[in-house]
Amino acid sequence: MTKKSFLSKLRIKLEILEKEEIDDIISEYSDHIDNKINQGKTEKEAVLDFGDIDTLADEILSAYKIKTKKVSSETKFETFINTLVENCIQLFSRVFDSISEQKTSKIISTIIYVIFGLIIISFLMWFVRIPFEIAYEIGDGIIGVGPNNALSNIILFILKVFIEVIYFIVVIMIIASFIKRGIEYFDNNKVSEKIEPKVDAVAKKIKEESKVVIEEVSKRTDDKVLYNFLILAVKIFVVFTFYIPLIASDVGLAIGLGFVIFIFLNGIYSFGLLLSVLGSLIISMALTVLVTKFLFYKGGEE
Amino acid sequence: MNTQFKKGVLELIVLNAVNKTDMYGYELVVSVSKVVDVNEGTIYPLLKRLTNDKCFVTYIIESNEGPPRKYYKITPLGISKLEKLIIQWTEFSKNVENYLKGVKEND
Repeated sequence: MTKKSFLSKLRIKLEILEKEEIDDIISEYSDHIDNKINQGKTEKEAVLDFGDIDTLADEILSAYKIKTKKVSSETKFETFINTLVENCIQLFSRVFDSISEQKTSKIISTIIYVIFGLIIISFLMWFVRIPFEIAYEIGDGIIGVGPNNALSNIILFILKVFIEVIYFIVVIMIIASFIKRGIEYFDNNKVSEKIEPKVDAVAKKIKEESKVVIEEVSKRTDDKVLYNFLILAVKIFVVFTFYIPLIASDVGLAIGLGFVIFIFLNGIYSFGLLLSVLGSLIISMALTVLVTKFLFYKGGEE
Repeated sequence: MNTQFKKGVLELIVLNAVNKTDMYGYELVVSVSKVVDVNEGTIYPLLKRLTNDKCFVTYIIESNEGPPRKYYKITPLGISKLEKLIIQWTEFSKNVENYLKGVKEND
């Protein structure tokens, strides 16, 4: 952010104060930034040193005894979903961070993020399905006890539609929440990628703060047991839907590659076939490595 | 370093620094950062608050090197607050140290 845009954003956040006060505050920060630039920092670095602008604005306002409360308009249910999603995201973002320390390309990071995101979403869709299926089975069982006539069939049908609609809404909420958090996380990640990998106080602070957020999120859920169970359930799900097929395709493609080499040695030069088998094998093995890291990652240790 | 520690002690450090000599904003931030590493953004709100609470007064000095600077000066109220904080801090840190020493002896 440039000095100008930082100061004008700050000004807006402080607009509840009197103009004189705002001018005074803004000029102080402006002078501070100028001093830092004189000491050799760039505009961007000087602004970054202030940290999150909303937190800063809140602190300034608190000096005038103005309490800013962030009113959450979420219902209890939405909060539950969001906490659920947050926990999954924190889980895989920790995995992601440990893996991405070895990665240098932003494109690869994005791809990894999307892949893991899809894994988490499909897991959640499957996992959340369970109570709905149970509800349906119970409903079916109860109705099945009574006479088997048109009325009970209609009731059953209505029940099924009702359940499906609620499930659909829940899934949409999960995906929306996921995307929202994903964007927030990604923005934080982009900021820390711009900073030079040399020892930099700002990068440390941001990581510190996100660690604190992660700790607070995992403390907020009343059950640590639930959290650990979730991790285990995600892993089991991943094993069945991704890992086993991936290993199978590794083996299959390796055999295929062997076959292609064999026919090469016998005079049939099919480069197209070679390239596609080789390419698929590489992708499959890369995904297997990724998923292996994900599965055997000891969550939570830093 | 622990953020909670820093926050608690920041006021004490700022009051002490200005008590030693009048300072302007940036100068103060630099000198406080030598004692604890804090987000510079948080120092200005603290200065504001202490000024609003009448612990500091401010005055402007034109500078040849650039824009006019706002200097902070401690008031008698500020001094008394500083003294109270120093007493609290001394007692607090003494208690913690003694506690830790006691634990070590029992090991």
